Amino acid sequence: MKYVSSHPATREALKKWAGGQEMVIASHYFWIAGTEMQKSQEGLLQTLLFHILRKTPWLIDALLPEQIGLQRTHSLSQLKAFFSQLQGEELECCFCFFIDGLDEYHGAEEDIIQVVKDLAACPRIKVCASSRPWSAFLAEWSSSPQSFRMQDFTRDDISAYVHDKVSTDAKFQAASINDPQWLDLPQTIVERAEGIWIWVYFVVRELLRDIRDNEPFEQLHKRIDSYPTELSAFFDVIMGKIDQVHMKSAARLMLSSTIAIQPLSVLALVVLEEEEDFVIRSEIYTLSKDDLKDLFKSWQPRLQNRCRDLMKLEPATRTEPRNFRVEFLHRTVRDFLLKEHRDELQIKAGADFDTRFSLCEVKLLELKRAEQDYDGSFHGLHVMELLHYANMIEQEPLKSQVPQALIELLDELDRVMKYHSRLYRVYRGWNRLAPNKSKKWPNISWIAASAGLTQFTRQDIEINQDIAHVSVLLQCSLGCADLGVESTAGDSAIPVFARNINTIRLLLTTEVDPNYSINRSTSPWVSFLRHLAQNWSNFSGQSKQIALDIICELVQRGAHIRFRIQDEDEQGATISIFEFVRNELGEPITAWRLKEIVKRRQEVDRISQECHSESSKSSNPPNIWKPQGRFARLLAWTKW
Amino acid sequence: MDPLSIISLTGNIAQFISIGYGILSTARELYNAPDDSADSLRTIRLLAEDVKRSIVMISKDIPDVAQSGEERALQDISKECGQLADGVLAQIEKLRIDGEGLLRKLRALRVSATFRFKKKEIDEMLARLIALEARLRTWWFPTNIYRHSITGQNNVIIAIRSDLSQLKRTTNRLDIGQSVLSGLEAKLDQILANIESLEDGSAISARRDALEGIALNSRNYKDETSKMKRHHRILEALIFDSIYSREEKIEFAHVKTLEWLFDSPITNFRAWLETGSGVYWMNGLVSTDCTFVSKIRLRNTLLIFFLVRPAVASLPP
Repeated sequence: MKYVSSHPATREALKKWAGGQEMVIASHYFWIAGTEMQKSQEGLLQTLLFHILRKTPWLIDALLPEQIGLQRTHSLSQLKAFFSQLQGEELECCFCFFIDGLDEYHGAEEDIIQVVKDLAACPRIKVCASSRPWSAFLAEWSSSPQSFRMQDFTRDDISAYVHDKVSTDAKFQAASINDPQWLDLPQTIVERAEGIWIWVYFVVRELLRDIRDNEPFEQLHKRIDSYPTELSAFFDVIMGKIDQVHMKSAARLMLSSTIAIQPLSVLALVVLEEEEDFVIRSEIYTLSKDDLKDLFKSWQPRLQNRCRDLMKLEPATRTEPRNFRVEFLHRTVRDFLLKEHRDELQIKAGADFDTRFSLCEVKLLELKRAEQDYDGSFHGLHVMELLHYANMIEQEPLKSQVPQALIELLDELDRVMKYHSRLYRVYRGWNRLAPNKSKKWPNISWIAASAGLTQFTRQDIEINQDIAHVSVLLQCSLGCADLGVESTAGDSAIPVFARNINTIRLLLTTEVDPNYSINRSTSPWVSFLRHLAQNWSNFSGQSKQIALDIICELVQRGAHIRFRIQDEDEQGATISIFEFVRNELGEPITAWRLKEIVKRRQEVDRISQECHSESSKSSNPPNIWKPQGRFARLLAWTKW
Repeated sequence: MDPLSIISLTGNIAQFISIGYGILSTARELYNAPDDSADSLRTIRLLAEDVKRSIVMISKDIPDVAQSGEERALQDISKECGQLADGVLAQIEKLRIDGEGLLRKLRALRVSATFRFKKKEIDEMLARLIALEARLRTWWFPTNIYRHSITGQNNVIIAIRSDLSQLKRTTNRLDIGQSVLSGLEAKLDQILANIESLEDGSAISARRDALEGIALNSRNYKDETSKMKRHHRILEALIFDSIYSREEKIEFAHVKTLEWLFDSPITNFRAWLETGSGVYWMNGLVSTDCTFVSKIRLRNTLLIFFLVRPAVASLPP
């Protein structure tokens, strides 16, 4: 159980289950020969509670009022009350408990069964329990599909597998008649396997090829000995077997698969083999199911040639009937490649290969070949994934490709999505994302600004400096348009405006108008402040600081000083930015600083107005007044 | 006086001084342009509120009896804040009355003599704020040696550092993530660096930035530290001696042998982890250590593949 609960595969699988929510693993080990706490219900619950709170301290604040938890002993009812609270509250948190040795509980088996069932009664909590096959446990769970019997999975299974594969082979049978020592071969494999299934798969497959090719007995033995059972040495041998001709595309595919946030589709194989600008030039057309099947059929043997057996093509599943996925033969392969071989693979893939960019291309091609999708949700997922990779490039610039390549790719994405959005009626995602509440694909400029793609936005505003345009971009980058593009996994606590800070700074260098509103909707300025008011307590100190800096900057850029903070409340009272920051956000220091900024701004406005009335005949008034000469002196005077 | 209160008191004093600068500059502008009377009045009321609030915050952390010379010095600084606050409040009061008067009087009636007189008082208070700020700095760093060697650190800094390392020890014992701690350390360093940057020569605006940094960081530091201490208290109440002992005794001899457990064609365990709910039962997968499994039972048991090594030493999990 310790092995299961601490295994990386467990964590990975549970993360999928939890979706974006926090996921907590806690385990308890019953021990009949141990202390009272090791064999009682109190011990079970208190241990689980300790591990939960240890891993997610914020639950302490959410669930435990100030005074609880300070006494040394806890009654069973107190502990149970906590768990029922845990089940009742709407928490953004999923739990998986591993409980070892239910049979070592010192009371009635029925009692501990009930406790386990009670714990798992909530959909956010599941329990993996182990015990010896005693009758009470058998009666409760043996008929459940969610169980397995260990005796079904012993080395007898490996033995059966090997015998099934090897001993039934006609050539093997013929050889063993002439030379009885062949009959020991299957047993040798079982002995050497030490229970590692992946090793068994590989060796048996290779061995059968050797037998087919009439290799002598000594050669077969050498073959078995040549595969070390130490996993990483084993992989080294497999890697060494990849044909040099295929090494480049194999390395590219493996690199892409280690970084991809979900398994690649069969189209990825096409992208990796084609010319550099194949994806961008390629036409938009839907691949039929049969086309995909043909691709699958033709690529299955070719994939094996390229990656030996490290990667495999998985057939389509029921949930995604069109999708053929490229998967690692075994999840340990991914860990191994990431840890041991990443640099080596990069060298083999060629210095000009950028995995993140290649993944963007794969996603684009998938969109180009995608089926018509009436609610656009599949397309939406592809777009989000593409933006995720593009954002990764943003964090660390492309090594070899010119930044232009990514910009061209995003432009092409725009074209593809415009094509698709002609066909589908509504996608719920886009109206959340677009400040104008449209249900069609908005446009790539907005999307890029929302995703914090500074490079693209820089180029975009060089072409179009229209105030309306840059103002909407600002709104997008501030995260008020609510584009659900999360930053890379792990730091989901970073709010959008903090992640996009570079894009925001870039936009603030233009003549952006924070008060501009599109289709009479809320301006970027007010929707940003509303966003802050709703989430302020959740932000970290650093995010708060960034938000306050943005506020100061926007006020300097002429944001409205008075506004209605209540949504849809035309009659509601207005509030000043000073009062907002001081009272709503509770930041008096910044509030007073804002007060001064406002004073200074009003002073500049007044002076510029005077200046205008003096020289009203001058044609186009500049939008932003930069202090010069006499004004600069006046400014210095107000500054203190 | 405990280290947290010292940090918090320093932060509050820094905030008071910073707000003080803000107030005085605002007050001065109000004299110069009191045309928007209603708004000015509201501002003045808020000014008074902030001064009062920040002085209340300071008085909360002042200890009743000062233990050492250092604490007495800090007490004096706090008292000076109180006196200064009285002065500022008195000025604001005058402003307020003037402001209400302005509603009735013509703007032209503003007499330049009284204006100059008040401006003088404001400047005087500004000077007192600057002096206060200098005292705060010298309180933290009694000697300039600090900048060149650690030996110059005063007792307060030592106390705060040891408070932090105490937290570190508890964190280690309870096996909690270290990220919050390193954040705390960075904040403390930031506070000290900000205090150091309160140079006499630099412009008031730069010093205000430093003061704001002190106020902000020390508030964060105090909040996070006291929250963390509460978490530690609760976790220490839950932990018991044998909480890890069983887990530590279990050591699989051939952990690799269980890889198949996650293989979807072999078991549905992985599918359950990803999408299932309720209870998953592993019949027979029980952690065993050698004291409970006799040799004969070992040979026959279903558990043959995950035999355990004798627990020679308790390995860390």
